[in-house]
Amino acid sequence: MAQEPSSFRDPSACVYRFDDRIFRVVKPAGQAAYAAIKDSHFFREAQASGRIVKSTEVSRTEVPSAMDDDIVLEHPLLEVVSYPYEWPFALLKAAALHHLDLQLDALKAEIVFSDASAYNIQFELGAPVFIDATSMRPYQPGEPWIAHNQFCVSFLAPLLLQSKMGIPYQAWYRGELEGIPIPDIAKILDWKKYFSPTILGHVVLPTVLSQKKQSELEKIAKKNFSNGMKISRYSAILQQLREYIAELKLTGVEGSTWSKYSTNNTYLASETAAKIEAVEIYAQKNRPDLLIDIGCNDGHFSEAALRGGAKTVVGLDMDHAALNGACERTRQQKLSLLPLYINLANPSPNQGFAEVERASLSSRLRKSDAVIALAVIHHLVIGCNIPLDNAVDWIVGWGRTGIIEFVPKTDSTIQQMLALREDIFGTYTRENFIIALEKRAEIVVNKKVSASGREIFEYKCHNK
Amino acid sequence: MNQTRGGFRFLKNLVHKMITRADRLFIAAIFVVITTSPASAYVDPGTASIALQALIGAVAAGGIFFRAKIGQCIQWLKSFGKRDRGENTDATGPSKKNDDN
Repeated sequence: MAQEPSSFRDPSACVYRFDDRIFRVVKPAGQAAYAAIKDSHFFREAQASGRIVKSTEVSRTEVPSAMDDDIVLEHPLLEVVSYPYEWPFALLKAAALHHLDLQLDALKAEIVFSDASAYNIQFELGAPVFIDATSMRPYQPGEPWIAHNQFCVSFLAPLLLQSKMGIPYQAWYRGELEGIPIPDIAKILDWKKYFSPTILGHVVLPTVLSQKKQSELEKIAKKNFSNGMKISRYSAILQQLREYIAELKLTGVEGSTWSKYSTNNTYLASETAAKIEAVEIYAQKNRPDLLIDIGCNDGHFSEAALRGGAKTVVGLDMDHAALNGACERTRQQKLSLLPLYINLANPSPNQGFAEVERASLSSRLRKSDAVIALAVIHHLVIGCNIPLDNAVDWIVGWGRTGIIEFVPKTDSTIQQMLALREDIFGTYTRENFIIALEKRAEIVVNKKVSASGREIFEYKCHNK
Repeated sequence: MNQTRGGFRFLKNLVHKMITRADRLFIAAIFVVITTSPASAYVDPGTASIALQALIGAVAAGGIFFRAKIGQCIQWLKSFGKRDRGENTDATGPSKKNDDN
């Protein structure tokens, strides 16, 4: 039984994992708050509707290191754990709204949240779920929103960066881990943006004040709070942020190379249909629990895999407009699809405290048993200069079975990529691809899917 | 003319109710702080956030309140328009309006 590496900061509770079971040990320090909220209508309704992860009280003997005075809760295991710096804009926005909606409903029941960390939200079947069942406690009359700054850093600032300035937040968020610092977003937003009360109140003013003398500010804060903060104002702040964030849109990505890929690519409709059918049949045959769609674009092949019988699909892509399309598809059809922003040549590594707090992408997806890599290998080899053998090795490592589409050098896309470059890819040939693949797997099916010679290879790994 | 004065008084009372005396003292104090030059000791971001919340809460509440009032005004104007066209069976007719003065 291992303690979850990311669950160490909270002195009142921590999470353990054993096989496929998740336990939360609530220490005496956190039990009063939990007891006060667990029977509330808000908590019960949120659990029943799936907005907060289900928790069942179990015997403390389930966790060997639990003390006599601990309470132990069990939660269902999440299919996939993902981090805010991997979420496309639509998912971070959905998580922010989910958090605020929960806070607003909780406040009506005089319950508040102790923090506003984006890591406390995960996605199941395309919908956000709040997973920290012990971070709620009764509202103390007059108290302010303690986690307001954390909310602004974790949710508001990254969304503003993309929506107001058209700059993606993922790479920065991955580096900063907690989110985008407020003084930094204040410097980036141009002055015209300052005319919004929300930006003035949550970004500009806090930044200006944070450069002033602490003691002066504390004096003002104390005097102001001698009577406490009215609950109506607390609620109004949440409501204002909720309405503001709901209106934020993804900008800066219109007309990206991949945004119209579904309708505007080098395939004929019949060729796309052939690939979709091949993916469906593959999924029907193998019924994978977790399939990785490498280069998922707007999710049309992920959807085909789910239709065929895959239980869950994680899509990896780097194009923001395409990922937005995948998120929209997921939302509209309630698919068990999680589109993530991942640079295939630089996926999320182990990081955080002791380099274990936030696990690498491959360790979180290690249960994947199937992979599809359609129209992407040439981007790894010719686009990113990764040797063909390494690229095949990396793709094949994601599952027992898979489909890889080989794109020949004569294809117009590759010709375009090489138009202004020296062709140093002498070893990028169909023969070498087959050699690389057969080193690791047995080719089960292969067929041409386009007039230009693109070919899909369905394979099954040796010794897996 | 009286209506306009009455209107101004109404707005003044409304603003006074929404921004209490404590708020006005707070705004004055913050103004002093903002206009001083930066200090070397940096504030932990939580303090700035908490110091500001009463103020931004008041603005947020005001925004919600005024948007609700504007929504009501729009509804009222729409119903007024309907009355003019004789669509509303509850119409009181234009003569009633002229009596208010």
